[in-house]
Amino acid sequence: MLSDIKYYLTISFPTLSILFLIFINIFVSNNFFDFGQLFVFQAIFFWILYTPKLLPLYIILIAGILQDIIYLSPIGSTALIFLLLVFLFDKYNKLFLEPSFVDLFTTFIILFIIGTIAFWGLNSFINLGFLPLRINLVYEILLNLFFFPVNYFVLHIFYKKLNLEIKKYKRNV
Amino acid sequence: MNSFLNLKIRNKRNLFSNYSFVFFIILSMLLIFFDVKKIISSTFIRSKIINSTFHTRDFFISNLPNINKLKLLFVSKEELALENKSLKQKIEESSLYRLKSEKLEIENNILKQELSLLPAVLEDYILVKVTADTQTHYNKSIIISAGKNMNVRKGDAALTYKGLIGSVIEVYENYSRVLLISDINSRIPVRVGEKNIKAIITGNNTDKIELLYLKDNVVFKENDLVYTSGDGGYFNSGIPIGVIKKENNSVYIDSLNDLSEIQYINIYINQFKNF
Repeated sequence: MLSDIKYYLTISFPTLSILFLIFINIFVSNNFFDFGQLFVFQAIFFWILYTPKLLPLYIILIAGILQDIIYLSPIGSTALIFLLLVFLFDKYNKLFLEPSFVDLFTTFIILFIIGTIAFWGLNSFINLGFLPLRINLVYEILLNLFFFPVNYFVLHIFYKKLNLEIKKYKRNV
Repeated sequence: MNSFLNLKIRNKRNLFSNYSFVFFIILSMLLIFFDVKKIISSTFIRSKIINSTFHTRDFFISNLPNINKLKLLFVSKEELALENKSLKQKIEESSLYRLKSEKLEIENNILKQELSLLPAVLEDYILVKVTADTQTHYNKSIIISAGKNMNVRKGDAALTYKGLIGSVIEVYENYSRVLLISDINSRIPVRVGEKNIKAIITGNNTDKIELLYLKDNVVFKENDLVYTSGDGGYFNSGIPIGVIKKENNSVYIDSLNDLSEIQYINIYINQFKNF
């Protein structure tokens, strides 16, 4: 019984970490740093890279919808951007055999910038007019890029400690 | 550390099937369409999710050890004396302001009765805390710690002692959402300056608030005060909002409040009884 709970908690870790980052972004970081709504993509990027089976698309959809509900964005808009970025990453993933961390960081930078522009475009489209582009948007991108290695490193530690690579294939290992 | 820097991705096939992608992307687009066109009532869903989210947060916060109490143990007597002095000064200042405002209120009521223009205005308000600042580049809203439990209603005015910051747009059980005046979807009827020029103000998601529906050849003076007109039953009239500023032949309103640093606000409740 206890091992079952432990197992399910472990395989839910990618989802739990995403929820945790959503809450951190709302309740803690917004008072100090403005990471923006795409902050959670850092975790999605990591888990899609290492354990895509533990992060199905419907979880990404739910995470996006949850953010939209909290931030009063049109429901589905953040989820659409996340799905678009995961789709692009899926295509990129096949091009490289063994990417280094620098390759991944570069990919993240490109994807994050694409995501920010797409999000601005989508919001402008919904509001039927171009929304102003401010310098804060650049700060937001830079802040996310600065924190990406930190997040990546922390999630990597959990990934190794929890043996998620093995657990995604076999139960009770 | 080596595996961290040189990872090996074993699975080079598609991570997800193309059909799943298409399905979820279409689903997201449908959700956006339904929400924007208001085909689905998102308020109900938002209400349930925000209540449970914030209850979870409150549960965790209430079970955390109180760091402030621990901090108090390390405060020296000198610091306490200084704090005491500044608090006493603040009390004196606030009681002075209170006296002044009470005097003005009495004077105002007498003048109104003399003029017999308006009935005495009911101005019930509650002081609430900003629970979460949910402002992004595309939405300017905040969540406050009062909802149906405190008789907050949709359309109630949210303000600080400096002036208006926005209006309540969604009311949940214990929380409400305030749409700030800087949001692109905010529309407030106002009057400007000594000439009482009518206009509507709208945000554009920046600090500069715009004026809409102005008559031709209207001239504003720099630092003209903008305040609510009370037209259409929205808000009490005369709540200050901001001042007129000019920049490169364009006019905008500079809010009296710093909208990114709001911690406590007042909500005027039952204001519609005044109309």
